Amino acid sequence: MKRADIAAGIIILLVSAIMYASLQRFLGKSFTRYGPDVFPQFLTIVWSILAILLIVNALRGKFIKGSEKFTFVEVKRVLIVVVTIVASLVLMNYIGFLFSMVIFLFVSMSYFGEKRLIPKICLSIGIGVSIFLIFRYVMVIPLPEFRLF
Amino acid sequence: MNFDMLLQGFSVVFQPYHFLLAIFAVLVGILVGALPGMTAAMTIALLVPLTYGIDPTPSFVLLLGIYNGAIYGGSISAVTICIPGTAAAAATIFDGYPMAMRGEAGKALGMAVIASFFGGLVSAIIMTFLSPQLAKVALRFGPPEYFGIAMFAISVLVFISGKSLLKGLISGMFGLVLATIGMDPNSGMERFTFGFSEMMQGIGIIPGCIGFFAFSQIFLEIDKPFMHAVRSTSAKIGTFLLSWKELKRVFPTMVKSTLIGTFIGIIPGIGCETGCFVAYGEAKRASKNPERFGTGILEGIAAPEAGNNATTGGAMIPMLSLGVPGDAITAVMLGAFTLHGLTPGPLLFRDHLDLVYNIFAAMIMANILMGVLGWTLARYYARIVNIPKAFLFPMVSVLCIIGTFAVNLSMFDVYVAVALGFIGYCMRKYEYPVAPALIAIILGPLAEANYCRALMLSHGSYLIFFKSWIFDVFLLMSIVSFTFAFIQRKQLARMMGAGEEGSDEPAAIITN
Repeated sequence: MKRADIAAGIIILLVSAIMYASLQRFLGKSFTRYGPDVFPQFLTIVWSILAILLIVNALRGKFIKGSEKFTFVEVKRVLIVVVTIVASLVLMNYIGFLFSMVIFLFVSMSYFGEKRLIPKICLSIGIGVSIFLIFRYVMVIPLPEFRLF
Repeated sequence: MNFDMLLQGFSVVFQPYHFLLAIFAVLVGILVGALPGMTAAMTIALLVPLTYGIDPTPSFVLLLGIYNGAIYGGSISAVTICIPGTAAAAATIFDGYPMAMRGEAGKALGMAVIASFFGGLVSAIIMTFLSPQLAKVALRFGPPEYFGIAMFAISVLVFISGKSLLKGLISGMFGLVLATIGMDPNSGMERFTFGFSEMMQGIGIIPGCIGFFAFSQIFLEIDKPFMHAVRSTSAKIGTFLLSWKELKRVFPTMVKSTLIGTFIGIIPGIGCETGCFVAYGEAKRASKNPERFGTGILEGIAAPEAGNNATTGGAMIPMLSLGVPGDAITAVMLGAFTLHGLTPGPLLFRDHLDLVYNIFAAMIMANILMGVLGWTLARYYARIVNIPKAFLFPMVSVLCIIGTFAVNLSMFDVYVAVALGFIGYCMRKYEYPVAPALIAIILGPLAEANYCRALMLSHGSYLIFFKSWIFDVFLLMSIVSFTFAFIQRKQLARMMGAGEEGSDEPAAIITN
């Protein structure tokens, strides 16, 4: 947790510096004294101070001992799901909401450990169609449609 | 206050047609609230045009039933799957989910029903008796007062910061930084949009809530070893009944949280999400055992649920009396007034007093029905804990995706929610609480806009803040809450062992 706190502190300092630098473009361009740069600049300064405190605390050995281990295997599992969600969102633009969500449901149920084929197929189609019908026709929300041909 | 007209209002709303409509509306509201991704504001927005063909009274019976049902409904998924159904139930997960994991899901849901019913009913009664008088309080709020309340609400985040005050503050600052993305509220100039026009609107509450709470929780569940079990073992639900001793113990918390929620609801622009966090933070601050909050105690559910449902009555007060919506949902309901050719405000009380009292009666009836139906159906809602996670979380993911998309019909919002979900997952793994980040996203624009407006009004003089007694009260409360949190954590650290902020116990992911 010590290395994680130091890394987090450094990341925050970098982000704050980038933010502060990007806010310079607003100098002299506002109609009032309290332009779009005032509040964010204040935030970046305070955030940087907190980040320095975090790094100092970590170096002094003051950090929370957590029993959670953040291993590569765990991150990989999460990243696979994130990629699956993003892929289904990209696919949605081509094959529409209904088909992409049915595929997403099937793939994610398989990944989450469901091995039985019939329940997976039935639930993927059932849940996907139900949600599609409710949002498209009951709540009248326009959803992405099939566009391949 | 005219009792005869109120009784007449009850006689109207308890007619079979209105009564059945109210039951239907409350059930739909509870369902909408319980499903992550579906919001009360969206549902009401979709139903308002449909009320064009019916009279005003049944229209408002329908809309108020959904409003009250949905605010309670968010607690169901908050308790059973640690994902708040609505942003207003975000604080309920802190103690609701640990209770469910201990096999006390029934008791947690029972507490949520009782607190929601109490908070909603009392605030509806306050609304009925004090509407015009309390509306005058709302008129006193200008930029310094709004900045004061935003500052106080953000300072409350130190009480929901989990184990580390410093990490809670860092998380809150992260939320404030995210809130600066988009258009500056005062000048309209764009900040940190990186050329994406979709980012002009900034990070919304729904993508923020779904990202930080829903997606991050799903990602946390994924990396647990038992996630890959096909069937989850039957989780014990336990009794729904609370003992008389337990009810007596939580009663003061419910009363205080109801008053807090009603007050927050009265102030235009502050929503029920703020009410739930402020009520929770205050309950924790005032408790003799604040360290027990987050471990699964009844007070930790009673406070946010009474607080969030109390904002419903409070939010109706400025809307009815002044025509100024108390929150986003009442802003949508204003559309219903317009549709029926009505103008909320003093003229409504003068020209349509019977409708006003029908609305009062409908609000009270909706809360009673919410309590009865919520209690009756709680045993069925509790069974959600027994659904295999291999089926539950993919379905919840789809609801989150479509719920986030439906807000602005923007796929970009969904990408933002997924990104925030991954960031929230990393934050929670490293003991950074996500709740302060969310409340900062909600209140950051309000704080910034009113801070700058106040200084513009005073030509740069900070005295404008201190001349307002309302701001002074909020400033004092902020200082007290901050000091209290600091002292409390020092005492806790001394009790746990020198030199460490936390303990060797497993990380309290839920309070983060």
